[in-house]
Amino acid sequence: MALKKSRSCRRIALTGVVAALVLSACGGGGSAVDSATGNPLASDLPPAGAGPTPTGTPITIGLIASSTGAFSETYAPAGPVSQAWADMVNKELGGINGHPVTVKVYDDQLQADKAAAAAREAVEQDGVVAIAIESSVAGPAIADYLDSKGVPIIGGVNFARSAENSPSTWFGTDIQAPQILQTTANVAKDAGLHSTVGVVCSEVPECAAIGKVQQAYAPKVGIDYKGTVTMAADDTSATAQCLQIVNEKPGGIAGYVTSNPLSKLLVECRTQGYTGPLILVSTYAKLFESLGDTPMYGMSTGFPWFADAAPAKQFRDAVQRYGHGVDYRGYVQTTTWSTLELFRKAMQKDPASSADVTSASVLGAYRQVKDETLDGLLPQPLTFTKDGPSPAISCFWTIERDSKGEFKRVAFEGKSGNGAKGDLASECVQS
Amino acid sequence: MLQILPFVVAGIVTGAIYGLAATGLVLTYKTAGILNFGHGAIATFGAYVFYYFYVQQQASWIVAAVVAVLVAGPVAGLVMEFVARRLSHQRTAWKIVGTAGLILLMQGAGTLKYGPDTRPVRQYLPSGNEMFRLFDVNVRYSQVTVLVAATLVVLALTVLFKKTRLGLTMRAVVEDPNLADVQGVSPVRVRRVSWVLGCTIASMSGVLILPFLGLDPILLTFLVVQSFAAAAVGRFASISMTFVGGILVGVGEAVISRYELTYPALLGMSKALPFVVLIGAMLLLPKRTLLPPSTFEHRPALLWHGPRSLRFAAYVVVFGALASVPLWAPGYKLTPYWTGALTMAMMILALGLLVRTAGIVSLCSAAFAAIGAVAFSQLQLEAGFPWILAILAAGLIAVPVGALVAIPAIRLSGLFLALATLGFGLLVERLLYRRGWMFTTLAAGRSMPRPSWAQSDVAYYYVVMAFLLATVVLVGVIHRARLGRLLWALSDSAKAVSTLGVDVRVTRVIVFCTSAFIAAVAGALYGAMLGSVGPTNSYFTSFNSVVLLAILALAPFRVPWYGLFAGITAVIPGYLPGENTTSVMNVLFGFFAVLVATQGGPAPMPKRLQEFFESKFGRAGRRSAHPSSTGPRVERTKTPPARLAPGSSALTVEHLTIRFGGLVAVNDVSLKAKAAQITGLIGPNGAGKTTTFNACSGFDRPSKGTVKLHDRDITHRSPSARARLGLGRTFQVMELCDSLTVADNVGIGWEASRAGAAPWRQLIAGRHELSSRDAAVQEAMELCEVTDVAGVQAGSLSTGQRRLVELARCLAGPFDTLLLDEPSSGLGVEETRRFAAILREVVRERGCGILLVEHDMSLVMGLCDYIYVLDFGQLVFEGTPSEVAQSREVQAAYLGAEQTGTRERPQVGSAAPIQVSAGGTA
Repeated sequence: MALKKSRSCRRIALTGVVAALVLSACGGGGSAVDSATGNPLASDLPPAGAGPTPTGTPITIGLIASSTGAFSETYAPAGPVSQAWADMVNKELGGINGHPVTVKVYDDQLQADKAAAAAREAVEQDGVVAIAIESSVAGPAIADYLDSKGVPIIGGVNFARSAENSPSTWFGTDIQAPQILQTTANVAKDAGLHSTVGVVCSEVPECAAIGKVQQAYAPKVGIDYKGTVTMAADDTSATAQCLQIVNEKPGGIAGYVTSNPLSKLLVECRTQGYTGPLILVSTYAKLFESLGDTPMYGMSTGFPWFADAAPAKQFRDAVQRYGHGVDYRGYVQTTTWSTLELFRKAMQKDPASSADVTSASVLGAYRQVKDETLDGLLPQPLTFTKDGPSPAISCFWTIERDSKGEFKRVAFEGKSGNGAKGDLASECVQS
Repeated sequence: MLQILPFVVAGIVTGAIYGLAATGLVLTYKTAGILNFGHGAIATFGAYVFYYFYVQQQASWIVAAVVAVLVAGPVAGLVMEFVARRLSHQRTAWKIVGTAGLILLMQGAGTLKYGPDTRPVRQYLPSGNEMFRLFDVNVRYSQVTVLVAATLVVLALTVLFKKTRLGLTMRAVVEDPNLADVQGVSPVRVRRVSWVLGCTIASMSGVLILPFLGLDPILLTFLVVQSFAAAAVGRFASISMTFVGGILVGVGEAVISRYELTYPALLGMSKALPFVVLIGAMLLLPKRTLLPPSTFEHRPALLWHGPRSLRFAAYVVVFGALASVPLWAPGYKLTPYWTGALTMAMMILALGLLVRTAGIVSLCSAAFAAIGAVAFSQLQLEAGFPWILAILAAGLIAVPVGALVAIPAIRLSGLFLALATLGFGLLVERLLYRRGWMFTTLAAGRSMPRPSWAQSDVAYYYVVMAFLLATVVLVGVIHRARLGRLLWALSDSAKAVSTLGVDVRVTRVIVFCTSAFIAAVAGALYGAMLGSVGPTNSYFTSFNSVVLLAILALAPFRVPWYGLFAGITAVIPGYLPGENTTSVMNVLFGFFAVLVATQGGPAPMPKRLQEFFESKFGRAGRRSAHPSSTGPRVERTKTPPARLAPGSSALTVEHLTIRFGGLVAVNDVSLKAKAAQITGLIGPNGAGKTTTFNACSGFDRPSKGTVKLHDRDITHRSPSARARLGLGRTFQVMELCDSLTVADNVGIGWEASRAGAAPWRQLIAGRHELSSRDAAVQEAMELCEVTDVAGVQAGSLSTGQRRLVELARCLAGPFDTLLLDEPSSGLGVEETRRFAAILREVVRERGCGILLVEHDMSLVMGLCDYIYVLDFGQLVFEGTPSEVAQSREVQAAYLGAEQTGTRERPQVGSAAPIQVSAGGTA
């Protein structure tokens, strides 16, 4: 008995020491971080609370992402983030209504035919009940097929169809065209700029539409849109573009091109005397950091990863704990997270999903979603109805990287689109 | 002007790199006779080596540049020389495949190593991003460095060519490699030096452009394709003009880009400019500039044609297997892999019609597919066409585009035609793909629905399979019809086919249009499979055109099997998934394409296998369109003789003068070949006999004088028009269709004039025509005693037999006037005797007029009724054989001054006969 007491005391003491250490670590700065991602090391995180072990029939969700191929730097993190979400749900939350959840990731290599193959494999071989997309080519290639199979697309980035042109089985969670093309004007205003010039790609005709959208919308928010220049990936010189830009003397450059031509443009424009900031529509830390010290603002379709609010912190914790070192700082990462969280919440609220989960039950659950914001993880309250289409989303977040390299949300005028306060508060384009 | 100055500065720098790359291209082309389509791949290789050392190994830029340019470049050059040496005697199509395969190889390898994303490379040149002001323009030191480096290299190259012994030997090898060899200059060694220099320069251009473009396998490779425009400005000959051309193209691009920003209608023009220049140069440069150095070419391997029962069984098995795919393949493999494979098979068949059948290499198939996809979508969704009609109409819309591409084909062939098609494909991609009316301005691209009655993947698979079957039938019908026979012949010898009466321009237009139709339908079917397509879809890129060519090159078997075999390769990524599968496939396709090209094509089916199949299915049928070669003997009917009045003028040449630059090859020659007579045209080597023939045939344009046939002026008529009027010809260097059988060769002689210039007549022959053809073929073969080899491939015959076949081909046609150029060359004594008897019989029975060039004097003296003698391009004597035999002028022409006494070279323009002093013997 004395020995047992002695062992118990040692356990208690040990626990106390650990707790003290943990509490002291939480108290202030100085935590070690991963030098590549800037994420706190997982070992410094508080231990996860273990939930009950889910024992029901598994729920399989498909995620089609461009994990390899061109632009993989943008989309590749979606896979590990989705796995981190699944691990968190299974290990800490007891699954979804007692069902373990699996996210199967399919790589479309940014090619439409592979996306089509992935969708078919997901539905016909792997029996997924829903699909999320993190790819700029998958949506149009698979939407009609999934609709014909009754498998819902539960959101993700770059669906590439406007809400009104989408099937009723698509449930968008982030801003799409044409609203997404308007956002840079809002960002410019938030950044205190008076005018912008847009730099768009020249290889695909959809880029040409950007300028027209900006010309019509920017004046509504008080921004003088001075024009559009085109830049191709194989342009050896950005002289023409930069001379035009410098001539226009804009407050900022809104870049709608990929990082390689963008960095060429920046170097040349600095040479030609441009000193203003850059506004981006792809907001992730690696891109910002690769473009040097230029002041940058980004439009993010996903919630700011650095927000202090509890839901955002849960995201960071889970990714650090289960994400195997993936960098969580990006819009694809946060959009993936909010998409999957919406799935969890929709299914948990629907009593029918206590039984075996099928695509039909997912559709049923989603059609009961009403005014959902996920406490600020979604850009605006979402309501889905039986007959669709998915509501057009016109809200987003603006992120800035300051002179110290810190990311923060930019304040804006007007009320929060999703009703949240602080960093999770979203702003909306004007209708 | 000052507003444009910054663009001029930027353009000069880029243009200098184009020019530098182009000089390397021209250098290797001039000395090796091979236009290296993979030149950009060499530049990419240099860029990768530099990136590895400079970025990954953190070496200094100087070390990295030295390794990339002075080590990797020469190594690449040695490899290229080895490859080029093996390609040099292959047919043009294989030369193109062999170098284009490098593009795939480099793209695949680069992507495997560094991924597909473009990797930025910061400017490494000293003070690279620092600037100075020049005429109010910010100029970077790196720009100046690049310009100076490129200029110095080109200057050094120019000096090398003009002032050094090495340059002299290089020029000698270009002009006459055999003569250079005799003089102790090794052509192999000289070409090796050229390749090393050319690849070193390419590597240097890749290293220089790296900071401006970033590391990207496709962008780098196709950027150097733009340097082809610079080479075209330099006429693929002048190094200094090539460099200047590069600068002009670079400046043009940059200046246009300035105005593109102001005038959106110009969008894409700057990128399209190099290809506009390239295609324009192809169309405007003098034709003789675009003739590559002629070299001996290996004959193609005999294509085994399986027994009919075997072929039937193969159709049943293959199409049965394809039809069963939805039953055993997992549903998710059907779309896109299996259905995509069917559309790919159609693309390969479309391309094969051009490459394998007609011998025309085309590198713009993907553009036709894109046009078809877009047209289908517009017709179906916007114009409300029924689905099948929309698909077919989309194919028809591509037909005039095919005709447009065929325009360069009218005056180009071989390497330059392939280059023009590559330029066209890139032009369409750069200029049109970005237009809203092409793929729309929607992010989703252009919507392309499936038919309402075949929405499911299985149903749609069968729809596409039906289209594939229809394509196989169409291609099969073409091959069995007159058009197929003409295409095969065109592939072997366009020259011969045109002198037999076919307007090959029409033939080329027809085959391009047909290929465009099939490719467009395939593109539409592919798009409908996916539901929507955009401009970046890999199916429609110029790179895919190169991939298709490589796959076609590797595919074994005859039509349509090579198409089906090649199409199935599209299934591989579905069963070997992985991010690297496509890149590995590209590496393999590229490597084996180069290998197969150096061997002259895929190996034929092994003899043992042939014998096995023949033992099971019956005797193999040697491919022949003529039942006379294998079937029962066709009743010989006497061919109505082409009757001219004996002694009337068949062919009259008056005051003919032909100049090649400053050289007068033929000077004021007049002669007449009369009907029912054999007229000789003799003279020592280089006297101008063949040139005179070429002028009579229409291949060389006279500077002065006329050519008349039956007293009708044909001076400005095309070779095929002259043939249709009755002028037939054989060639000093035989122009047989070596891959065809003897019977097929002879049959072309009859059929060509019937095909003529009318497109519909080139497509099919009527039944009664076929029997007339067979009778004419039988008669001609019997006359020339080649009936026993009727079913044998012409390329496998002896020289003497080939001469007889060429004559028989002429005799099968409706020619009343024949130009025979050294027809007995290579014949033995008995063959020559028989040959003479044939000619006498032809003249007697048909009343033909024959103009005969010969070196066999006994044949000439014994055969000819009248003889003209040329020397140094002038007519020195004419008369009967006995007069010629006694003529001092003739003796002097053949034996020279030492034998006959003093002899003055005739003055150009002089009408006076040669003054010959007494002395000398005949």
